[in-house]
Parts: sequence; C-alpha cells; structure tokens
Amino acid sequence: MITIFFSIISFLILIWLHHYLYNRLRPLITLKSTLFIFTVAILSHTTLQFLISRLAPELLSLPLTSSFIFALLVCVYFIFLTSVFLNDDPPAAKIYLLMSKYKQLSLTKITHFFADHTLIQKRVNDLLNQKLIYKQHNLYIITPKGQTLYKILLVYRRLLGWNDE
Amino acid sequence: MMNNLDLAIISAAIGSFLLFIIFQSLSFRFINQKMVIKWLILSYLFTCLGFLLFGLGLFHLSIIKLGSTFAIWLSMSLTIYTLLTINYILGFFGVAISSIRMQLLFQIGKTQSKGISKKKLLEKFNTHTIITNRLDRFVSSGELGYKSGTYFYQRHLSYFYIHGIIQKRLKVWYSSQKS
Repeated sequence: MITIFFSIISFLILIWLHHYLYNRLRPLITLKSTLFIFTVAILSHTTLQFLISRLAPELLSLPLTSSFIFALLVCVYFIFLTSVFLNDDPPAAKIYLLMSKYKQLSLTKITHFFADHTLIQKRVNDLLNQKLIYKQHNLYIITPKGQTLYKILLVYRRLLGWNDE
Repeated sequence: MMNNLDLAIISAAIGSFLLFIIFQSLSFRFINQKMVIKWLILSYLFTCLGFLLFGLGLFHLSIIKLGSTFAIWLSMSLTIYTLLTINYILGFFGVAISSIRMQLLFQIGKTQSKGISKKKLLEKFNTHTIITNRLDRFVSSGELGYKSGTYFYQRHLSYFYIHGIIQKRLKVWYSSQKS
C-alpha cells in the first residue's frame, strides 16, 4: 500500500509545485506549458516507480497500479485547471451554486447572471484563436482542423444516439 | 518489477471501464437526454456491481482466496476504474455533449463551407437555450424543483455542487498572489 501513498504524495507535491511556478513565472505557465510539465511528471514518476520496484521490490510492489493512479489524478486535475486557464464559468455549475445561495429563482433572474458576451462570444473567440473556425465576410466557417474535431463529435454523438440539435 | 497482482488490478480496472462504456453507450440510446447525470451514475454503479459479482465469482470458483491480496485487488481496481470514469466524464463525455465551445463548433460545422453568421448562430444557440437546457436537466434529475415559474434548490450535495466548488476554490487559489 506504500506505493499508493507514494502516488498521492507525489500528486500533492506536483500540485504545490505547479501553483508555485504559476505564481513565480505567471506569463510562462500557460495551459500548454502545464500540459508539458504534467507529461514530464507522469513519465518521471513512472520511471521512478519501476526503478525503485526493481531495486527494492519489498518497498514498492505495485509500480503499474501506482503509476496509473498518479497519471489519472494528474489528468483530472488538468481538466479542472483548463477552466481556470480559459477563465470559464461552466453554466451548469454556476446555476447550481446560484441556486444553493438564493434557494429559489425564476428563469428571468437566473438569466440575468449570464451574458451572451461571456457565454457565447468569448467561446467563439477561443475557437477562432485555436484556429478551429475562421471569419470571412461576417460568416464563421469551420477550418480543416475544426472539421476533424467536428467529425469525431458527430461519430460519438451518433454512437450515443444523441440528438443533433 | 511488475507482478501478477499489478497486472490483475490494471486488467480488472480497464475491463470494468470498457464495460461502463458499453453499458453507457447502449443505455444512452434509449433514455431521455435530460436524465444524463442519473444514467451516468447508474452506469457507473451497475458496472461496480458487475465487478463485485465477478470478484465473488472468482472466489466462489476457488480461483482466488479471500484475504489481504483480494482486498488490495478489489480496492485498487475500483479506485482506478473510478478515476478512469471521472476522466472520461469530465474530459470527453462532458466536452463532447455539453461543452458550449463544442456545441458552437458543432453548429458551425453543420453548415460546412457555407458558414454561419453570428445572428443565425445566436438564433440557434444562445444564453436562453443554454440555461433552459441545463435547468431542464436539473429538474429531471431531481436536483432542482420547479413550480409556477420558480426553480427551487432541492439537493444539498450533487455532482454539479462538488464540481462548482472545486472550480471556484481552484480559481481563488490560482488568482491569489504570493506576497
């Protein structure tokens, strides 16, 4: 069980280290560099686990399990960090937190807490910045890169029998 | 070095996760789209139950013995399966089905090379549709109540509450400057 403890401690150290680097080198720590840091951390942790389990098998007996737990914890943390970096407020979570605060609200009052600018335009701009769409003569058109993602989404939605609307 | 227990844990966790994907994909073809969260949780729990029955079956057939090794196998497999499921729901399912960016991309992609104006895009997909869709899902799953035009807060602990709180705390933590 020490291997699992080692994974959780390594994960907590990584979180602290990332936060420290973010505070010290803010412009350099973007979502891309965070992905790089986390990938390096996963690879290093896995290598270390296998090295220690080879040198001292009585100390670390489940290197693969431990590496999986560490990698999956890092992935969950990265998913949560994306909304911090993109400065998003997912509407479902925001609605639920509003309801937990005010206890009862009408649709009109809930809608007042949201604006097309933050909810739609900001995300359209992100799609433009990520080159998934482009703007031509006031029209938004999908790029080949966006088309690939669109096809993946389409296949997945059809697999689930999801309504296209 | 990898041992048999290590491989057995990973195989059981990945097997359970694949079972979850199959169960979720099949069940989602027949459910009301507003009941998504409820069916994701049910898919997760059904797979957990299937996994426990599989473990007990192995024990019954005397392939494995009850003891600390069995407890480690069971707890570690369930932990990895749970983490795989959380990653899938947050990182893939959530993005593909309810992410606003992906829904916008989907609306724009549907027009192919013709494109769509901002006005038409907002006619199809706007703040009002986003909010009403989510409120409908909350009401269907019993997380919010609805009576005479007013939504009521009903459940104190829910997936969205935990999700919202984690995001809020992370935002505060990352926006705090070190002195």
